[in-house]
Amino acid sequence: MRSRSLKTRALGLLLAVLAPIGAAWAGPAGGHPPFERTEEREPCASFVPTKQPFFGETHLHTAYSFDSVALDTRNTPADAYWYAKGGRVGLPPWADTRTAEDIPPASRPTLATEHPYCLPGEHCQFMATRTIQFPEGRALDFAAITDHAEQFGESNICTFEATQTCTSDSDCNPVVTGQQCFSDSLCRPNGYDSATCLAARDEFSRLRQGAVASAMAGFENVSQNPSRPPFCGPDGSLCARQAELVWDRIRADAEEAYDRTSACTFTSFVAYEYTAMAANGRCADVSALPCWDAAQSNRTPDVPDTATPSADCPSGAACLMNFTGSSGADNLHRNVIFRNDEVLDQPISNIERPLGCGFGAACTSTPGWPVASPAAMLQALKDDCIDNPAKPRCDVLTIPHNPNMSRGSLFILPDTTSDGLTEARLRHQLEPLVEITQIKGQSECRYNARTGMAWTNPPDELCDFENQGWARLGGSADGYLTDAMQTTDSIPPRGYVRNTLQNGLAYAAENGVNPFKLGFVGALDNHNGTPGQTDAQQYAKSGAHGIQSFATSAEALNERFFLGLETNAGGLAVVWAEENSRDAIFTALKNRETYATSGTRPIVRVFGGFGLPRNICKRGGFAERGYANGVPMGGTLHGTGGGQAPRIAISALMDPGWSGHPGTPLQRAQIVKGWVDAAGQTHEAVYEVAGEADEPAPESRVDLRTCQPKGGGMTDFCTLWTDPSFDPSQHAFYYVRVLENPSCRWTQYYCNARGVDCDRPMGVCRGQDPAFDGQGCGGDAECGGGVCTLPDTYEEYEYSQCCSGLVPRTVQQRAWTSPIWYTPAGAPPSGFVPPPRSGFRGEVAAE
Amino acid sequence: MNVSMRWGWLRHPVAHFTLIGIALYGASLLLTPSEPERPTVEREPILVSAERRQALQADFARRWGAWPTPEQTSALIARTIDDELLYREARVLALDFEDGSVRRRLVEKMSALSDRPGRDPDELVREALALGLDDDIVIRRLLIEKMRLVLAHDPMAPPPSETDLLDYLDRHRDRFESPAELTFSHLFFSASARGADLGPDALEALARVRSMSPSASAALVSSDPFLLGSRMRAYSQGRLTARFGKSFAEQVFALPLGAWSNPIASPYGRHLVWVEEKSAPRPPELASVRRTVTEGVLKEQAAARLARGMERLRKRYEIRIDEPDDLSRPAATLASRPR
Repeated sequence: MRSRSLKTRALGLLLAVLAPIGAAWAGPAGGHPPFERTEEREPCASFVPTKQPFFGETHLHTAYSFDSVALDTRNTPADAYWYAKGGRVGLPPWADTRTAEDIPPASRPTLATEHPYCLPGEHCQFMATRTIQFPEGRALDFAAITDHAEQFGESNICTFEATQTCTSDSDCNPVVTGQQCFSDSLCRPNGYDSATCLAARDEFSRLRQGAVASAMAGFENVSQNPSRPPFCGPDGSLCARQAELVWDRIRADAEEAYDRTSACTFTSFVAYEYTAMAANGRCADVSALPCWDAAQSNRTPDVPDTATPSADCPSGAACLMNFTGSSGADNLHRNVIFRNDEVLDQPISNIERPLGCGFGAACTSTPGWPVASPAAMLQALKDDCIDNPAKPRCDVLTIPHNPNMSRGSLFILPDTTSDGLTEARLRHQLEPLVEITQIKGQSECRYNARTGMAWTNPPDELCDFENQGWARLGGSADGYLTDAMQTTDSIPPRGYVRNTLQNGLAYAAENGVNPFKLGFVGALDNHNGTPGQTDAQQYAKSGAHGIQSFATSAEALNERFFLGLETNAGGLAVVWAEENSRDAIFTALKNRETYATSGTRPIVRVFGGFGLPRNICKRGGFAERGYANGVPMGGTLHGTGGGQAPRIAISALMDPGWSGHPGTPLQRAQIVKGWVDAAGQTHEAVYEVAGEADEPAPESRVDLRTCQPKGGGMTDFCTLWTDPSFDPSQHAFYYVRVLENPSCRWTQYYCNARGVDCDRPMGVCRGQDPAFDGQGCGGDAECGGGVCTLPDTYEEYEYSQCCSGLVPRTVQQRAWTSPIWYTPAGAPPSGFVPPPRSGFRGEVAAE
Repeated sequence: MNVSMRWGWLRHPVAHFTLIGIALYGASLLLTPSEPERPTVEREPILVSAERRQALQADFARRWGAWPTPEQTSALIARTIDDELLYREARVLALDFEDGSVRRRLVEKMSALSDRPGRDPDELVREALALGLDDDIVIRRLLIEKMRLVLAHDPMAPPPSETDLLDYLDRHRDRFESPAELTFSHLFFSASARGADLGPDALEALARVRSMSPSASAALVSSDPFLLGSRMRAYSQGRLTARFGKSFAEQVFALPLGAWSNPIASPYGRHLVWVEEKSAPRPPELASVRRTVTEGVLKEQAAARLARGMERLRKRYEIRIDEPDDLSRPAATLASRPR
């Protein structure tokens, strides 16, 4: 009794103390925040009404992705968040100190495997041999961890690490867990000992190439009729159940990482990746085209289905399902990010809602038209989350990535029938953003300096930046394209964002709705569980794909290798939001008030408007006056200019860098304008708006040995630009590209770290006959500047790669801001304003 | 009337339970035979011989690729003793009795030894025990774990009280509290805009505003606009480092309140800084960290119970270590898992 009254009094005291604090929390802006609060949390002390930049990750894989765990990644979402917040995590290879007699503690049975490990010097079964951590000041503000949802269950079953002993099945509580007692007296899920899982684990123990994981994806991630492996049970329920357990862990990890206090140090998002792939069949005849048709069997690879000639195959041959063999697949992946902790009970992956024909389109009977529309999946997200009365707080958006590896399939315009328009509105509502850059290349635009081939009109040489030679995912036959093979036929311009924005504009001009009103984010897509790890120097050591990027570092400088020369350290997503909370950041993503960087951290702010003050750069209050007289990046201007041309104001700060690693100054800013004329023809132009367009050689801006900047460029700038050729009757968009001075590409860090010095002779003369193969030599001294014989050691290969000019030494890191669209007066609003239920006030204001 | 008043209590359920209880107690007294004499437990001394120590060191070296330091050796010996205590005590308490995992191990071993297949598992277990096959590394580890759980666990313990949670929160202040935050105004002088004049410009401005407040001074000097604004609200040192670099953040956090600083360099130029407000680190509301705190309290309580249990066990045994002089308190612990 006495203790209770004491407790009551303590509680009363606590309440009395907290009450005034609560009153103080009532809202830093003195009222409601300008976004809807859909969750319980403390408002942020650092709330800024005119918004501030937050750096984050929207695409990252951990050990819950089959291809990651197959490459020996042990970081889970919990570890990934720990890294994002500045913690140290491990990377493979692991010192595996398990002994035959290792018995796991029985205290904590695991439902979804957690892949535990420890750091060097600590004592456990898997010890990291390499570790990685952000430099001070570079931790992220927010992160969404996006594992491949299709194999949540399959992967976790096959790689299950038991923690519970048993004598009979009942010890494992099979009804709840789906586990059984195995012959070594340990509880594991049913299916662990299936032939498929045995093959997967056998491969892990020897090769670590992820072949089984990608074969499985070949059956599960395909357009129409995806099929789970047999061990999932006839209806797939075994894997679906394990997938839910994994999803529960992912949700719990996100909750644990989220800072709900007023300090607002970190925001996590519950998310997953929808990993669909299209046209991964191959015509049975010699022409060997990528193909797909609805009638074929997706269960058996490489078996000709002669009864059903495919419309995609010119000679009327059948389409063979052969993802596992020589074909590739069009990348149609999307990251699905939820607003708060009210999410779907299980992800809608390609298995639940596979790719299909677009609404109202007959894609399987049209030759060459891929089965590539996400419309059914987007509709399901809308029905089960956004419009679901049982989940009133649920909200979601999806971010497509790597159109550059989709063979143009990611952004196929919807039909113009009413069904097609429904799809266009769905895409407008659910897909406000595109991932414009990541480790597998940038997707803004394309140019090949070696062949002069341009994908833009006029050619834009700055598009020759982190391009992929792979037009599709996987496979070898139509995977890698050499320079000569890279044409606008093999890589359709539609696969690039600038062209897609123009196509969307033309569609909007005609139909009143823009299916591709895409703002920009950058991301990693790293498979190490290390979000935001975009530093070139660290990337040169860590790679991006678990053990593969480490063990095969001999391939790092090989352009043909999928994860070799042509990959890069990846990009970042930056949002302008009032505070670092889920509602604020999600609203910014939804409103496209975002920009992408190629991995560095410049701060860029853009406003567009007819009435922006001419002195907006001269006096303070850039943001206040920008919001008052225009719209921010991602917004839309309507034809109310009264004969005036729109002005675009750009203000930027260089990346501040970190201790001992100064940031690179900014070189220049450009505005990319796209528009559509009265005939429906699209056009584009690039304007230089700040800085020096004609720069000296890269070596004068960066020391190639130390990779330190040598000066020049701008630490900050602000500029106001007026469109010199504005036509108020034409739909248009404007986005800003800010370029840094040249800096070392990761490959230069790699070559430096290996001690390759191109000024010194190789020092080894192999064929002592000057006539030998035209490369012979009389002694080591004659070997300067190159190899004298064909490289037959890795050192020689490395030297020839680093010094031949084949491996890029510098790169111009950059930022791309979400476009500002212009819609002529009288045109129907190009956007679909969602019903007032969720009330995105920012969106309504911007439209 | 009288009867119902005098005997009415008999109808009350409490009375029924009391009576049933008394009856059951009586019956149990009558039916249970008096407890047989417990055999006295012989607790042999625990000895860590020089050979054992060398074996431990060699094991360590094989596993980690380096010979253990004296501290690590101490830790190894301490752990060996702990394991031995736990194992011996588990045997005393007969924790292996009817244990499924132990039984399974014995059946497995005996079937491997026995040449006749398909024998009754009970028979195999009896035979294995007779042969002493239960002295086994796997069974040993099972029992050690089980004993650890027995010591750390108290099924009757009440859930942590609010006071426990608040106390934990208080003791782990640095882990939970929000960082100190600064709100400051600054006058910015851009390196790109001013070039060589940067330093003099900033100093000249400082001379002019020296004694003025930020609001009054803004109009007086021609500083440059700064993208993130001239007033920065609630910046932790971490955020300040991220935006302006480490050296700038350190200098600004060391400033006194309510005065203009000397020019401070950032990657963008120079800044005159006026710190308005500095909030002390503050503890979070319990509600927002309740789950982590509850887990922490439970973990602490379990660890304390285990430590008390181990202390009790140590008193029951004589412990002898060859060359005991360097077994100081083990300085190094052998960690199991980060965080």
